[in-house]
Amino acid sequence: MFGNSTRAQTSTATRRLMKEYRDLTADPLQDTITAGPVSEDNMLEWEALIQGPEGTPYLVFPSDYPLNPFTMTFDPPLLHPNIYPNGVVCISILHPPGDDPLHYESASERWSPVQGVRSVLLSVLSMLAEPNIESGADVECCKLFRDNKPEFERRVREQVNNLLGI
Amino acid sequence: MDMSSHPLLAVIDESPPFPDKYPQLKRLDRSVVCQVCKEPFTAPVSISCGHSFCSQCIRSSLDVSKKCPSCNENCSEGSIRRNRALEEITDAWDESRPTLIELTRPAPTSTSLRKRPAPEPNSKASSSSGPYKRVKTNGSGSGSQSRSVSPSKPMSKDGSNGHARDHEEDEEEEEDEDEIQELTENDEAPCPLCQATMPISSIPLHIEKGCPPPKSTKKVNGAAGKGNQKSDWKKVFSGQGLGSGKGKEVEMKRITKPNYALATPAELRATLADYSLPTAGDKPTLTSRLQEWIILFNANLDTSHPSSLSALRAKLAESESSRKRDKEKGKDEMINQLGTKEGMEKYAKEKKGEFERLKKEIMERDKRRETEGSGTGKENAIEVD
Repeated sequence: MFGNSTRAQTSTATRRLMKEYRDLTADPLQDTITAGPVSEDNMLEWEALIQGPEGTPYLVFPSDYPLNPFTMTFDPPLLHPNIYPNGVVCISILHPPGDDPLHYESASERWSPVQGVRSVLLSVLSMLAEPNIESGADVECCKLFRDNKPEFERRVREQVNNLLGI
Repeated sequence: MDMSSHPLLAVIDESPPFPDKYPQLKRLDRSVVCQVCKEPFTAPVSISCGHSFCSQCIRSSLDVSKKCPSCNENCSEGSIRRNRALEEITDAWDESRPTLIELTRPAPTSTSLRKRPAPEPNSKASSSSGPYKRVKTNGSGSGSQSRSVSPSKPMSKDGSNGHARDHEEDEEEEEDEDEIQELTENDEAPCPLCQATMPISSIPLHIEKGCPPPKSTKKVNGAAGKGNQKSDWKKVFSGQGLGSGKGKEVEMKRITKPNYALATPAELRATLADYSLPTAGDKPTLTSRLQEWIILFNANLDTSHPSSLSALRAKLAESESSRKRDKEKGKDEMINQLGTKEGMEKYAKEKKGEFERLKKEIMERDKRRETEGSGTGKENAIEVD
């Protein structure tokens, strides 16, 4: 098999991430989104760039990736029903494997090792377009989104403009 | 960051992909890849739902969650079965891949390779023919090393071999005046570009990589690796592989998992010692070491090309130290840290510079698009009131 010699020198997590990075480079997700490692010597920390007003998500990988999911954080935090006020993305595909005790979401929506950066970024894109207020992370924001959408949109715009210094 | 030239990517020693115009080959290529590690199957196994993974991958995954990673169906380790057919398919595909890559390459390159003159006239003496797979070489330096598996016959006696043989000879003559030798993929031949000698099967990959020195190519070659493994394995069976001199044979039988919650550190150490593994560390370290060893050991029983026990031990040590390196980079802590408000603020502060840079980049890009006038509204994602 190709690459057995190098496989021994890198951790499983790093190797798998290299694969994913190479595949993302060879076959970009969409025009609107790119992702890659932040620094050259560490595969376990990525930044993604989503074109549009969404800020920069950072991806942080555990050392037992892909057995456990990575964390995705918007920096600066983004006003969105499914993003915690501290910027951490709350999306079922990023929740650790196994059933959650409340049976809130079925296991099929959760993380498994066959998922990857690509599939998560796609889910996040659709989450950004269509917030899921039934399992909100930012309760205040959920309420606002449900009850007063124009105000919600105004506040998002305001935040984005501040962010970009416009 | 330049996406295509990341230095970490240079570490991946990879065979080139198939060109886009062969979607069916790409699909075939993907189908022998494990969905967990995204690499060609090593010791493939199937589980109750019918999905297949590398033995090591599914065993690790089931330690975390007792579900199929693909379909989430409940699954236990007991349902793991060796998938010999898939292993054969993966091996065969791995072997044919370089040849197919070569065949799918654009024509100009292959003709230029063919047209190279044979530098050594005497190599003709070693050429033979037969109904075997043909591999073209230009003969230089390979005469003595090439080994033909075909019942080799001098060209002069070919006439008695009937029509099929005649037909083949005609074909040969239609092509250029090259030497044609009957070689198997494991035979060595010089690279047509840099003349370095290496197994034929690895030449296409070697050229694709821009002719690196042959030493590394040899290492990559599957056949060579298997040879070593075989002899290593023999050593293990004859008892030489068990270096500790305890006189205790390691049984080649699946290890049953202990109950880690109940096991005392002393018991864990004793089990580790049975397999000549390091016994240093606290209980969590011992537990994860034994867990990983059991995965490696049991997965090693699911393949026709098993590694020696000493190779497995080395793998375990390497995996432990690389995981430690990863942990030292502080990412596991950071994930916990991100859960707290203070941690998040600290992180945001540290990353401010990078964010500013990205912000600048994206704004410049949008500006560029606007001035180019090619922006289709959709691309101009930043809305300004």
